[in-house]
Amino acid sequence: MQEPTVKLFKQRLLRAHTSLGIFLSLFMYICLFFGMFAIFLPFIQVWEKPSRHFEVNNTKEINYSSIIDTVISNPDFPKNNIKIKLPGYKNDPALRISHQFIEEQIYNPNTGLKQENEGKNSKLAFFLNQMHYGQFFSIYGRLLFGFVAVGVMFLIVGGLLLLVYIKFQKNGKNQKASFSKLHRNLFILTCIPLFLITLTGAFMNVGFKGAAPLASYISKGEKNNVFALVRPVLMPKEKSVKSANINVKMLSISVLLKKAKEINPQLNVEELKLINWKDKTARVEFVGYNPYKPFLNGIYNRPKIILSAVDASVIKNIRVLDRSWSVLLTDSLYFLHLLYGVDIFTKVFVSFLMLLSCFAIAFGVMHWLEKQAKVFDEKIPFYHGFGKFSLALMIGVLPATALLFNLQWLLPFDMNNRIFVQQALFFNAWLATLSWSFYRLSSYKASKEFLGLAGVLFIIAPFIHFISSGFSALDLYKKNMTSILSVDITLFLLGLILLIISYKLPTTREKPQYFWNKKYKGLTNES
Amino acid sequence: MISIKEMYYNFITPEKSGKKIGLFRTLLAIFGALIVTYLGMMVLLFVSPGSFLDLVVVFVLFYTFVWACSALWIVLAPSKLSALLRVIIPVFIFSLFLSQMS
Repeated sequence: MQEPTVKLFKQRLLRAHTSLGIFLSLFMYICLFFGMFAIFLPFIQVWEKPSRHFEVNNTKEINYSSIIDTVISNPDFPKNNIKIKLPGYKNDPALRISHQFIEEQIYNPNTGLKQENEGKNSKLAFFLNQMHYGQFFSIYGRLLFGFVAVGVMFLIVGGLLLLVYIKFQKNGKNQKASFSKLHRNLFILTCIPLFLITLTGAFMNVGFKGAAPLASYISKGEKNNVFALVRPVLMPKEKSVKSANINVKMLSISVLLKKAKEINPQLNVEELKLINWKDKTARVEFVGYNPYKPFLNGIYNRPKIILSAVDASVIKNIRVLDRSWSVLLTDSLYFLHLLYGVDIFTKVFVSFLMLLSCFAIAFGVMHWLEKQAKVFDEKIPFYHGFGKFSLALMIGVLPATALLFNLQWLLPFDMNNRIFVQQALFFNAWLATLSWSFYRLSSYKASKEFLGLAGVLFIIAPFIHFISSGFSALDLYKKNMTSILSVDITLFLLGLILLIISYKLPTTREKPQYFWNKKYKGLTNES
Repeated sequence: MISIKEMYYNFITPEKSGKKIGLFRTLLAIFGALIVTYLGMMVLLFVSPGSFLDLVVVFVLFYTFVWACSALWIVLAPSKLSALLRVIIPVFIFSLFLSQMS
């Protein structure tokens, strides 16, 4: 390439990266922030519900038949396609029986007692997940976040090209240089998992909908839905079996479970599906996850064993590797994103990487703000209004989320419009931080206040939970309710960390320069 | 008023400064890249060996990434004309191929 063209290329690359980066920064920050909560969705889902607050006894043998039979022998209960989710599925200690046409029934597996299903009144984890992928604003939010994901992939590839073509400063002497260095280094650490996660994010939101023209072309104008076309590959349905209308005694579920475990000892059975129950053609499908083959199963690929409920004969045994290569590829790409069935350490590690990405986005924005700042009297920098807005969005969301966790156990569960009140207060708190961040002249002071408030609220949340649920921390520990106790401990530690950061942040005008760059020698605008 | 000759000259020569991207390039990059990748992936779909539905899954998985990459390629073209050509020529070749296939 000739000299002028290389220079043009670099300028254009930097301009495209910066402008798209600033445009998408806040949206991506929201996805990452709520995504970190979504990683721990199974734990939060159990923490928020009073119906899951019972003693967990993993060693005792669970008597499935006595619980399930009492439910199924009810003459009003449907006899076909009954879904049973076993305790331990997604960290949920309850036994859940559900059907397409009936509200889910929740049982304490140790005592066999039915718990009250407060599903409609408790949607904390569901709300955090919805905010994560945009479903809160229904189809428009999902499409928007899908396009954000495509833009982020543009930024990642563009950013890597920038690293190749532009020689960035290694040891700058001001805040601007530190922000640039932190933005680059943090993203170098996290770009590969972030790329995979963003790719699957785009796939989930915009992938299937955007492929409608392809579906139309392939099916010669008949079908618009790609998922319907690829369903035989991704999620093949079992052929339905006609009931013979002959009543036969069923083998007990515990016996069938033991047989399933013998056939495939690597399979963690999580869900059962009862088909044509109490009939001669009755069968049970055992669906689960194989932790010995991570990356290859869990989302679309779920190994399955189908046994006859009459004589425990094997009808089908679908193992992890029995599926086609495209399903294995899809599941392996999804693995880092949905983190299904992985141990807690991997989850914490991935959420830590995402936390670093959040910081990297923030540093990118701060670098741009420093570049755009106008300096008065050679001393006083005046930043773009976008700075206040991003302060409110990126840091103001913390006290609002802390309030959300507090409200979960403060508001009574039988209150009318409980979820509406909870979400409305969340958004109002977030908006209030917007006004406060414009009111407070010093952004650092405002951040200190937000972080301090969030810290205090996160520390209070577990105590409100203890008082309201009737289970103290010691109770939770003694009764083996570890998933619930771990959420309480995490909230407390998070509050403590936020308080410490709030204490350490600088306040006066001169101190930030030294806070970010110990080698500071002069004005912020000199590079 | 700029004459037609000047407009044409501005269109085909590389600009002096790359510090602004401009509406033409932005729109061309976003929508042109979408069409280029869609048709390109469809060509790959018909050319590659293997089960067709498996390849459709791969298409749906990766086309957003290829969209981002080709948008980057188009927006970095040296002049407005070359950006337009980067859209039109691949679309032309892929559509020819696809019309032959079906």
